[in-house]
Amino acid sequence: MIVNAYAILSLFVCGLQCAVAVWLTGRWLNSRRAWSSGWTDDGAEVVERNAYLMMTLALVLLGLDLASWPLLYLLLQSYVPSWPGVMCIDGVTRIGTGSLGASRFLPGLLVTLQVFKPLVMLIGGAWLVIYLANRATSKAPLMRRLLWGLLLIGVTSLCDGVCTAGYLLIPKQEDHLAAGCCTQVTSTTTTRSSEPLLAGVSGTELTVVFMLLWAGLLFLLLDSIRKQRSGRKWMGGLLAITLVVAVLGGLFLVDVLSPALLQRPHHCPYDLVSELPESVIGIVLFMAGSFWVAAGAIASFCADVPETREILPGLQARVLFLGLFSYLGSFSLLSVQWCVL
Amino acid sequence: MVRPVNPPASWWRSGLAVLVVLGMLPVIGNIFRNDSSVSRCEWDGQVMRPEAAVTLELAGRSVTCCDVRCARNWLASHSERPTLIQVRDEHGGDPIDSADAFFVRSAVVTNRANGNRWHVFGDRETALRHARESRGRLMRGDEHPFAGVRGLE
Repeated sequence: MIVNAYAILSLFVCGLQCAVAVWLTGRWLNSRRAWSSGWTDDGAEVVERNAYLMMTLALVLLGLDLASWPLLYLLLQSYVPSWPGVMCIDGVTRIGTGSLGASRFLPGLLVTLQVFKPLVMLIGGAWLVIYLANRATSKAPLMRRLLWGLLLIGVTSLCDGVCTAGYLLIPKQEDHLAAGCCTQVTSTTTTRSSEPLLAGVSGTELTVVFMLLWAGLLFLLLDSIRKQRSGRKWMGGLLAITLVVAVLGGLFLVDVLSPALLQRPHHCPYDLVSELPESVIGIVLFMAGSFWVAAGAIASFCADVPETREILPGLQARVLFLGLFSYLGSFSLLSVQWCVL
Repeated sequence: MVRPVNPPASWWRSGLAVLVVLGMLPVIGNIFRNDSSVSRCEWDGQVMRPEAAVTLELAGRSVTCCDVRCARNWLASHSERPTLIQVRDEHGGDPIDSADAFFVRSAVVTNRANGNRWHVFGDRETALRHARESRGRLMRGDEHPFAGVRGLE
């Protein structure tokens, strides 16, 4: 383990995350036993008593998950000077590649972490919308779905915490086979991501397709908010377009935006963290926009019951509003950044 | 029936205000960063040491890299050919045309990040002494770091 201030802080946060996640999952199992044995008065009381605690724990857990996300990148940035051939976070993510020891798990753990963190946020956002819809009713018809959502949050956060702890505690020492006639030591840490992700597509084509789709999505969002559209088909379509825009946005960031903002030929968005930190706000806003829209769309499928039909369109309009302005904020910040540089 | 405006008008006004603030952030960031005090390599973005910088003079612009290795990498990935490559003497930092400089590749690494082992000298004696002391070799002819650059031939 490389000990520095960020490593200690990350270990503390992931310890808290694991403890709260285990507590939440334990309470959930306790409630599950009560409600699976039938809705007796005692059982209902146990579930009700646990529900408030679990929801508070879930909110704390989501806060911890949110805090641990930027902390991961600050930790990786702090590891950069630890290896002679590493120039930025991209190099740190490659430490352990092709190694024989425990460090061979490091790149996989980082990939898993970079999948789990947005996943927890997506589940958390959708859960929050369902929670708000449920709170506006008098009979709490979405309680069961909310409880299942709590289990999902607990388990995903626990996996995320365990992966973080694993990444922190595994020694960052690379053990390679000695070079001989049949083996070759490959240094993966000195190379940089100089190749674009989409080899056959030019930057202009990618930019045009991405911008057109993004503009289309913004227009659909505005239309959904103003006309309060909340049908499942409409929201399903919105969710599908959001996913496509999110994927294209990632490709655009690596292939076009980061080389343009950093003014160098590499396709490494990690450099933005240290060199243009305000552009990271734009990227975070883009991700937040995608999460809000996805959460609003998921609510159409999970929170649509007769009791919520009156309030759901208004609630979704507000969630989509947050998504729309997150996207617009991202566009405003990044386009000004592009022009200023 | 008039449908209630949802979200309320105040949300739209606040949203627009937030957009304006966000749009100003890069401008503020640029002012505070004061980039003019720090020059970065145009190949890998590292902060440059002026005494090791290599400047490639191209048609209408110049590209500055942090050392010989980065300059070679830049040239390998671009089709533009420089009309002049200016390097700096390791002893004193005086600018020299690469055609007049003496290049030694030795065991001494000058840049931990990219592993550069190219050393630049303005006079032959110093270059040979460094080569002797640091298990290096004077690189001439085809071994010159910028030998393949057609624009200079």
